[in-house]
Amino acid sequence: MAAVTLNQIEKTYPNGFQAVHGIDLHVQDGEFMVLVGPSGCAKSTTLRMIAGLEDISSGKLSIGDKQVNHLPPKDRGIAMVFQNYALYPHMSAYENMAFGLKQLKLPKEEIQARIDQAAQSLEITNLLQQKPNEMSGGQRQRVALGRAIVRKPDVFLFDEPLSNLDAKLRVSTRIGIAKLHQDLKASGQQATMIYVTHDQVEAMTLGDRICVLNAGKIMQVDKPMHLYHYPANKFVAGFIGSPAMNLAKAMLERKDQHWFITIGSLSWRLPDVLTTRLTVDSSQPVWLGIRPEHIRQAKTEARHDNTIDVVISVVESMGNEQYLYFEWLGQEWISRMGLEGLEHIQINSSQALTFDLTNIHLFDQDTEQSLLRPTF
Amino acid sequence: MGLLLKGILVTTSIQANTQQVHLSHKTPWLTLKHVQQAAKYLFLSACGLFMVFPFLWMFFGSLKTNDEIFSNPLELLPQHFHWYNFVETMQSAPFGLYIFNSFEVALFTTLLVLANSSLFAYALTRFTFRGKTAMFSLVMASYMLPAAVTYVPSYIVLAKLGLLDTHAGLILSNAASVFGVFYLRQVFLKIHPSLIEAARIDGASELKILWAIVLPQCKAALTTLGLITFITNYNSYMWPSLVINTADKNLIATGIRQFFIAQGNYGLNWSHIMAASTIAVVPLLILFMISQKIILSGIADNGIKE
Repeated sequence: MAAVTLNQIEKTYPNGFQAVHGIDLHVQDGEFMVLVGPSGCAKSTTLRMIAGLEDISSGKLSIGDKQVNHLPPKDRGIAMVFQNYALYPHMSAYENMAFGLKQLKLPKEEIQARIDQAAQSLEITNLLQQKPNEMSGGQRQRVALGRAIVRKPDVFLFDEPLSNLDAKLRVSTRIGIAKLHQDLKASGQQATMIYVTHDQVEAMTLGDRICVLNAGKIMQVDKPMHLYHYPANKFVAGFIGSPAMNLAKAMLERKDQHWFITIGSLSWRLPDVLTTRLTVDSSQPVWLGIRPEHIRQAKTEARHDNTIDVVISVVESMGNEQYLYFEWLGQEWISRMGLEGLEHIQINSSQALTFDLTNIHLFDQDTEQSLLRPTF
Repeated sequence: MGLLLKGILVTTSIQANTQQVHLSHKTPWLTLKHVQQAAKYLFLSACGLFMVFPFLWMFFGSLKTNDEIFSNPLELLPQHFHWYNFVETMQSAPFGLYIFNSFEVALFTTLLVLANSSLFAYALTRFTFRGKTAMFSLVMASYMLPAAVTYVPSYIVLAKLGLLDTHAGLILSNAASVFGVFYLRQVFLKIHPSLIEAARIDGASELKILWAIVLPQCKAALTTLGLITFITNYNSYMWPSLVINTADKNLIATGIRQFFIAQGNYGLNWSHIMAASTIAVVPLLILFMISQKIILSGIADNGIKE
């Protein structure tokens, strides 16, 4: 078993700065957990505490059924892939991969066999005699992966491993890591992976579950699609999704048996599919959230109350879709649309846009927690 | 001579860098850059000549007669090359033994300085412990003490240990180098912490990390420190002349002085003094030529390190 359990983990530096505030997280055996968050949210610090590279100020960290707080990194059954690869520059790829195995005092034949197998699966056999400065970034990263694989660890730790790669290589290496996880699982090896990134695309595509962190606290831990569709709070709503969710202050009001959301001078009746999910029973100020794809071009024949007229200030064409930016109620909003029907949209043109009220999100203005129950 | 070789070290590294700049700016016609390059080379050549002149004077002096050395006007080259001066010099005193003594003392001192400085610098850069900054400050403060101030207490310590008039005493009393600690600390700080962390995860002990990961990346710095320490101790004069009393334990610098001055014929055998000094310098030149490649490769490596 190689589950990883963080129980009330805290990190306070000698200068008194508290970086991590009582994190509780359970990563299941074989799970691919992604820690994601903005810069300075302590995701790397958390990973380094799991690795044993940072002391834990308080709390309990277990890998498998063993508490490992005071164990050195080598005794935790982990392998780590670093952002800058951390390959030993004076050693060949083979020597880099063999270094850890030599410390374990494994027989030469065993070392050779493990490296050959890993090199074959990562397609780096022809690089084994080369030194890091003779390799490209992608090749170095594969060797770094190989160095982790040959150790056959209980838990793989990744610290933003794709950050130094160009966009194309990032995609192919990302797919490689996902495949590695599947292959390890399929071959019955330990495949628990904890992956730190600030890139939500990596988080969404790689993670079995995602842990969103902010300012040293866990904001939400959930499956990627749940995070996207049912953000637990305003931070997750704004952080997950690109372009980001539109958020604006509004008023949630109950009149007789119906609920209304008032924004600016407009008041929209909430559809029943939302009112059944509401966790409050009285009027209150809220943050209204709506994803860009849920603001659509209004059909001329069917204009509703939830249609607004705006002037498009910027059009960004992404090839398969376009982003429309417009000002409304003193703030910038963004709409995301497919290419069809967009031929007519020009900058500075007036457009009628419809808010899809069945897909809005509501957050308490004080606690910033969601006021809608998830449906799963 | 030590100053001369240190000068060559610095000049060579400047020239290596200059050459890189020159290669990356090839243009067919005379431009301001060409003039600047020419001025730079002229300046460096003048510096090189200035530094190498004492060596040339010593070498050609060793091939002159005593009268030629003091002839007016002075001439660099001898009228006849008196190679026999070297034979006479070698026969007049056990210079081979003195060179061996110097080599032995300098070699073991250098090895100890490299080991001590590496261990101390590694602890200063990679460990967190109470009083680390204070300890480093204290060590650096001791760098400000003039060497002569330490002679009396060091002499007393060596006397109490029974190490006076021994090479072991000389080696031990010079086995720690503040410059070495400071220099290697600065070099170790440039090694990315993730390499150390990766090695720790790989299961290497701290000594193993120092030996297998850190030191191989600092070959140029270690060679430079080793060479400087070796030259300093090989040429050391004042401290060995206080500690060593027995003639056949003399180092080369004290040996030359003992022979030519103690005989009361100071000033009469300058060509022999020059020849003895030239013989003494040969091992250093060989050492420098061997290590030059490593030092230059280290300078080139620094440009591509992450």
